[in-house]
Amino acid sequence: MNNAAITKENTNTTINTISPAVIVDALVAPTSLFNQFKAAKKSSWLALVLLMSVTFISTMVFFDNMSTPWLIEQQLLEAGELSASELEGAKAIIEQTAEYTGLISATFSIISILIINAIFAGYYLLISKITGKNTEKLVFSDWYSFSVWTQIPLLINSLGFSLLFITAASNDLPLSLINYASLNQIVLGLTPNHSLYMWAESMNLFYIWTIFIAAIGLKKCANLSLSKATSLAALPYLLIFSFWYMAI
Amino acid sequence: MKKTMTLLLIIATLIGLVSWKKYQGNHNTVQVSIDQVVEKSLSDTILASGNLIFNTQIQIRSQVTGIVTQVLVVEGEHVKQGQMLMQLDQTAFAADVANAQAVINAQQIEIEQAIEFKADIKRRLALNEKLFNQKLVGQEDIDSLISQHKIAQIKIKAAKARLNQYQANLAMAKNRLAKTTFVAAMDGLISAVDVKVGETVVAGTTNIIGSALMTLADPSTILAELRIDEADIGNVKEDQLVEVFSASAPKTAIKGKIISIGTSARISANGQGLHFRIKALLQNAERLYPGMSCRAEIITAQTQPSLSVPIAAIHQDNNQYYVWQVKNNIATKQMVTIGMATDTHQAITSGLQHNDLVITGPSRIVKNLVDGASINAKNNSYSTANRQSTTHTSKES
Repeated sequence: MNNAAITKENTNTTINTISPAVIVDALVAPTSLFNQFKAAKKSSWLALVLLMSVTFISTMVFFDNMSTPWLIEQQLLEAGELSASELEGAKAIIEQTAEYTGLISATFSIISILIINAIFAGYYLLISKITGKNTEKLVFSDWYSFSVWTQIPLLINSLGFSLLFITAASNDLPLSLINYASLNQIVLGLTPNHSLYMWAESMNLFYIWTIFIAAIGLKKCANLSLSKATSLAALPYLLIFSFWYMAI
Repeated sequence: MKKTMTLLLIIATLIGLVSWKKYQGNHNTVQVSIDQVVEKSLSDTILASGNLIFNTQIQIRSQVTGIVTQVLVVEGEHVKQGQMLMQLDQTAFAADVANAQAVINAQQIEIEQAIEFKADIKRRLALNEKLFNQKLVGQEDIDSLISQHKIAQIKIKAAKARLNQYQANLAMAKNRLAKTTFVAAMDGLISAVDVKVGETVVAGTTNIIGSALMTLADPSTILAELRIDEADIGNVKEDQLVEVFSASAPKTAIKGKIISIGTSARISANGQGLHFRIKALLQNAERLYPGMSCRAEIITAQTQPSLSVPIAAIHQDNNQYYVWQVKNNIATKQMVTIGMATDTHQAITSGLQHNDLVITGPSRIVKNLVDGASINAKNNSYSTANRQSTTHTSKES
């Protein structure tokens, strides 16, 4: 216990400023990151900005490089099987917004990141209060920072996505490329008209990494056992995808 | 060191994932639309538009001006010949009849008076002739009475002539009165009622058409009155088959036959170009109503059944035509020779068999297809193609 305290003190002195190296730590050594969690709080904002920037730029570039007819065709394909009148209606709407699809999608993505982190921060705060093991007296902003660290694998997801479309031979790429690491594209291979298509496309395998980091973080910051921390880290994903599956 | 190794592992995994996705993208099954090679007749058609009308149709208009007091039928009502349909205010017309009748009565009295006057002259003439024989009156008195008798006869004739005139006036007044009551001229359907109680209807004159009140029609047969561009009229003949598509069922073809072709060109409503009016008698008048707009395909020529594919399936490379044929979900480039083409279909003379499957789109994906590519049929559009026995090439009027 004393050794851990000493280690924490030592590391606090080294990363109490904004440091990109901490972001790498979140990926390769999450345990050491959460050992000095409070000290790394400032760096988490850098991580958040980086995550939002990479997501915004990659989404913008991906959509802006596409030709408008292709974009419309792809969006209609993603809409699944539609009747002729529905198709006409959908096409009219898509045509109106096609020019701004990149900006809309990119803006929506970064707003989603902010909101999802806020929801997770609230969830983690609730866990710490319910378990009563919030020994480090973490407040909402701390848990927001915690949530940002857990979402860092999505930065790798965005980089992989960027790599995919930058190295592609054509700018007209399928919209489903965004979900290149989804359960559907890696394992299931369902078509858009399949009822489970959206469900399987939304299940990104990077979430497993996210759950892993969150579990390590909860074990440390909420002082939980590893099994309990893992269960609680996975619970939101399990609930969302289970209810979604049952609703289909 | 451990961190570096983990970081390298992450980077390697990411590159592996991206590479695998790219490989998968290159060898992925593409989703395409397919269609079936079918045997069908290709038709040359002329497109036309127009409206549906009843074969026999009467526009009921008023010959007198007056206020509507009763409308006794509603739109869609079936009526019998002679059944009363509507009534105009009769007050003025009935007064005219009464007036004419009174004039006749007065004239008849006048005739009676003239006859009596003539009889009196005649009696006095007979008396004076006796007195003349007794030399009690002179010849002059006799001549005067003879003249008065002739005048009395003329007065009677004139009075009778006036009576005839007044009787004609009465007949006209009665006729006008009768025209305030509208009755059905035949058994049929009231297809339109354009008048309401209290409205004033106006009689038609030489240059002004009277108010349209109702339309009475024989609903058993219905016609499509079509407008054909003057450039196409040379290919249109009586008894040619027509497929009419009403606005309410735009995908259901109603068979018909041309029964009349207009003999003079008319100026189009938009003022551009000339058109001819033709009439096609439809075989089935069910759920069709007059006034509905319709489009029609006049079949001017039809070939013998032959193999054909949607025109989107045909591609050209160095003056050679080919299709992407689908066998076991694999796309194969198949050279073909082509025959007659329509707007939608192309006849195939060799290279394909009946029921073979060909790729019809999307064009962007088809453009990048390679021989042996794995494909996934997006739809079964060929099943709908099978249901149609003919296809047309069209010139729009």
